[in-house]
Amino acid sequence: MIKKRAFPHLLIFIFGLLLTTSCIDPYKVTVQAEQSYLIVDGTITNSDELPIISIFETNEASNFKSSQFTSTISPKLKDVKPVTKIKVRVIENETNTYNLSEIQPGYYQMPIGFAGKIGNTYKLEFEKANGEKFASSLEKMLPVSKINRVFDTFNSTGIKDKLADGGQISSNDIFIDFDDPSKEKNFYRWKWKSFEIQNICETCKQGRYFRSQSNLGPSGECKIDTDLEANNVFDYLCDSFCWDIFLSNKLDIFSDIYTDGLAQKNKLVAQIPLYQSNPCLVVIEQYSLNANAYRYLKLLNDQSVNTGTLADTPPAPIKGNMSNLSNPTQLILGYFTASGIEEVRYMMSRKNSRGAQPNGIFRYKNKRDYVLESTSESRPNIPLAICKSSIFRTPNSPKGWQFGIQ
Amino acid sequence: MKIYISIRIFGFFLLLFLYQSICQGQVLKIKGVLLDSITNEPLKGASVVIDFRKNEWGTKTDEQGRFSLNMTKANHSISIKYVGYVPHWIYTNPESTDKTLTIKMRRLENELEQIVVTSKGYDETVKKPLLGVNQINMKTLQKIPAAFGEVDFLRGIQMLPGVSSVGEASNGVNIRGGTTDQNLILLDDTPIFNPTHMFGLFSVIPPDAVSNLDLYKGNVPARYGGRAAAVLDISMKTPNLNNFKMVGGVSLISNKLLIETPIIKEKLAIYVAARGAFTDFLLPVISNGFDSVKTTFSEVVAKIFWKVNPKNTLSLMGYISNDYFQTNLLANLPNVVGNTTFFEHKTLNFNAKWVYLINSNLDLLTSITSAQYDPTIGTIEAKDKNKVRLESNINQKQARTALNFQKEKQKIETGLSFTNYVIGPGTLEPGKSTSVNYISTPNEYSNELAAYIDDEYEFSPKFSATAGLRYSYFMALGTSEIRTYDPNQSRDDFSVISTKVYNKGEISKTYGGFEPRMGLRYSPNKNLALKFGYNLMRQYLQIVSNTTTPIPTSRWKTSDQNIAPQVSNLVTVGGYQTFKNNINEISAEVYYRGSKNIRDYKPGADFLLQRFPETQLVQGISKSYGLELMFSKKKGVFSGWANYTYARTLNRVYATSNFLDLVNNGNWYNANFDRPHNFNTSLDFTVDKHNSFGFNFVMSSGRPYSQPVGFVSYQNNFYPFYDERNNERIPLYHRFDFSWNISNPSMKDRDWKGNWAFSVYNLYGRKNAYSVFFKTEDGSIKAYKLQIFGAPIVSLAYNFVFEK
Repeated sequence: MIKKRAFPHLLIFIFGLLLTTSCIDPYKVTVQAEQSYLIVDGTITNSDELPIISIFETNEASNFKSSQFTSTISPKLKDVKPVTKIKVRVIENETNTYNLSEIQPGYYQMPIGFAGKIGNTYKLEFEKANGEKFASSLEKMLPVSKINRVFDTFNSTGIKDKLADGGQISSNDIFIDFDDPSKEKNFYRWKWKSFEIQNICETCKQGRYFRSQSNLGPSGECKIDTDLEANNVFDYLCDSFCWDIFLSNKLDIFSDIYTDGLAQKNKLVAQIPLYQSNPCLVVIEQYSLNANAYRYLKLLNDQSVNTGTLADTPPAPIKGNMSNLSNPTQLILGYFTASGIEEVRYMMSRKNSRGAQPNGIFRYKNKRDYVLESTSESRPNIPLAICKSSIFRTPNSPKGWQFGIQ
Repeated sequence: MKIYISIRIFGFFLLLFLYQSICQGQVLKIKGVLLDSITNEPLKGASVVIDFRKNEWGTKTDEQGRFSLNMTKANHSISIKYVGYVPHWIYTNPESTDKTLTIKMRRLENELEQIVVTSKGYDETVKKPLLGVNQINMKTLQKIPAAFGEVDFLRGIQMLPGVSSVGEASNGVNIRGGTTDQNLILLDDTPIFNPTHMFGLFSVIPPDAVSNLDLYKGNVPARYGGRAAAVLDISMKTPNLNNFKMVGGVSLISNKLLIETPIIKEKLAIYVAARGAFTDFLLPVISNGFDSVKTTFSEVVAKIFWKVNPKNTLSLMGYISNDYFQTNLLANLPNVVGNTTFFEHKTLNFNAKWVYLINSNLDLLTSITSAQYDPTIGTIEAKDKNKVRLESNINQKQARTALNFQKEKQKIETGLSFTNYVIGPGTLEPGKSTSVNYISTPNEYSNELAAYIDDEYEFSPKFSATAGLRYSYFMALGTSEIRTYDPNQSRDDFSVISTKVYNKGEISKTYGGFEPRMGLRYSPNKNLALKFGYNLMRQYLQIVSNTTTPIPTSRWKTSDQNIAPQVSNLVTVGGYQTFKNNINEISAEVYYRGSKNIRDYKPGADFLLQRFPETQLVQGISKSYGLELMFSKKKGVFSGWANYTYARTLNRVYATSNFLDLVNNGNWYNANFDRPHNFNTSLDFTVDKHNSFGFNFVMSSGRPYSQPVGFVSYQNNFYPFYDERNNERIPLYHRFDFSWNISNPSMKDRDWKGNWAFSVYNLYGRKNAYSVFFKTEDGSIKAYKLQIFGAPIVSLAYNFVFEK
């Protein structure tokens, strides 16, 4: 209902201040799973990157216990297992079939050469080893509006962060303006990715870093040195420019139900934690959603983020758009959809920000200054560490990065 | 007539010769005291007239309701009349002897309702054929320890068996398995759509203006209709025609004042009562973070009473209530870009009532009523502080006329009512915004007609019965656009088969039917009664909101082609035993209630500006059953009650619904407010005339909540996932409250009397959970419990009465 977003903490808040008696306490709980659920997730987009579909299953006998003091439940890796070696295909416009290949256990990638197109429909199908067949609903890729303007402001209060002193870290808040197309229902989703300069590329615990050269190119690793104290750490500078990548983890969605056809201004789309004062690159992605995908994500948000109000909506199973063809009542988690993407690469100077150190990201994340290995007779040259490419780090200058911004 | 009232003859006789006794005939002396039959309050200023028709002389009752008459020993008829009460007659003849009488006068306006008092000396429980009826007077409510010292009828009635809620911040109560909107709350005949201020914290009635509160949870007289579970009838005081009076009070939360004054003595009087909370300017003092918080509420009630002549009275009542809450510490109205959210709601009710006494057995009551409720939620845009408002409203107008007839062994009430509903489901007002559209959902129109008759008859002292029958007829009217859906599919925009447009005033759908109401009483002896009751009630207007407790801005919806009215059947059986001259009473009631067409919601249901709410909800059935045991002691140094209730409420969605819409796969599931075990005690210890102590102890099972069946990693974060609805319960609820009421501490009998009320709510600071929830935070999931009153709440309130 109406208040969902507006209501969170409203009363908590009234009580908190007027009456100073209401509060929220951790609650101890143990959840024992009784059956296994399939989780299917993936989005076909029109970006250059090849879309990836993930198919996992929850563990039948998972046991989730909240932690002693904070009642935090941290799902463990063994709670989900990949569904591997199955045939997965995506059907475009109900005619072209694309067979996906498994790049990592449970992760299936669209074939090279695939490019999603606005206006096309997509459907996911797969068959499990036991013969059960699954299919998604038909998902249409809808066009997405242009982002007209991006700007940022410094927010000293910032956002929650468990590593921060006092639990809050200042942030750079990014706002956009965009025009909503008229006479059509539009649903939006925003994600962001930020690239922060990182100087330290390796940390060795009770060990030293060694470089080597092989056929595959240069590599490097920590080697244990028992002469060192067990709690000794050495940090190694990067041998090239290196960027840490941070991804948004919030579901930020919007519907034009009240704003159809109008220019939208000052929409907050990202809050980038101020780990350091260095400039950074923020990639803002604006997605188009269809109505059902929007409903799905909204419900997910309502049940996990907008909770704790005086009038919560009783949670309910959220049916995604995958179904078991022989057992349509089976609850399958996750959602398969198609989205158009509008991307803006925003280089943020952070000149407006206060309170952060240059190259402070290492210190913030590790709660200590870096310790470089000093030269010795046996190690006259301390090697520089390789900036290893992964989803959280890249040595390649990200598209849109501008050097020289200070 | 003597049967109706309890007349006690204390036989002491006096023979006196007075100079008026001109004749040689002997003088007859009649003394008496006049009391309200329910509250036992003395009725002051009542006229006592000998031989009214011959225009003979008379007198008036004094402060203590006493009168004394001397007359010749002959045939006289003495009439005793007090405005708003059923007249009483005494007949004498030459053989009559001197008497001292205690006369209990019954209120006229709710003649049929005067049934059971849970907290006052009264043996009507045993005598009347109705069951499941509680009456609470304000004195009792005022003595119950209250949170923040604010007298609150909704918290008060939760001390009674069969009345519960989802918790301390619930916006209404659940009575015998009914949802909050299945209770008809009437304030002097006008319906109250939102009974609380500040999202459930305080109830909306100015306490000083309330006369009585009748709760019907079993037998509901046929005169009431339109809700499926229970009736809460709050009657406001009638302005006093003779005295000026001022009542007021100051507490931490609010200030209140009532001023009552005659305009023309014995003819016309008025009072105005107001309560307001405007202390939000103090918030920034507590913390800078609260700079932008604004929160206020207020209500005003005014009533005029005009005694046109001894046969005609006219009363007018007006009621206004306002709430405003604003903050920038919250997120916004969804899908509107802005940085501050506010809630605003207003009620404006009006009632005019004319009572015509045709003769001492018959009166005619005619009333017109209007009720308007306007909730708004809004957002303030960062740029130019423009307010974007989402306004909705509900307007109900009613005309009613009723004929009351009573004789010694029989009472009949019959009447007609016509009700018109206009609902504005929502209008988005962008103000000056260039980013938000003006959107309006069309008004919904409907009419409801009802005719009823109620007959209470005493066949013998051992057996009496009440039989009522109501016929209600509901018409959904145009202008409207009504869809027909494919019955095999989930109702949504895609399963529409056809759409029909109805013109203004055109009937799009009708519903109707009889609503029998019945009560039987059998008393093997004068201290024991066995009763049986049956009710059928139909409800055409309801809240559609999928939250655990409705919020002030929840949408009201009348039935239409796609949303069938709720129909509820209730069967109750009870036994009542009194002891020690009716001072102690024990009772047991067992009930079963079955309802059809109850509402439940599809996951993610959203009614905001929704033109077709039927696409968001599913209907089903509900069953509730329970056992209520109660012991009460109505008089003495210690008085009060203790009760235990076992109650269950289970819901089930119609199996014909599309499987995607089924809640818990179409199996029975616990209602949100299902709390099986409840134990309440409320005790009053009166030390002396000036000091009394109140104690409450409450314990009940935790309400159900939905616990996730697992957690998954999804899009860089963790989320809980759910399967079954309401599969777990929050922890046991219990609480102890204490109050110390000091009345008139100066102990002097002056015009100005002050009272102090010191109370501690939740004395041992039990951290009762209001809800348990799971939140995705910073890459993990945390389980929390939300507490409303997690610590003892100490408060002090000062109230005063000034009377001239």
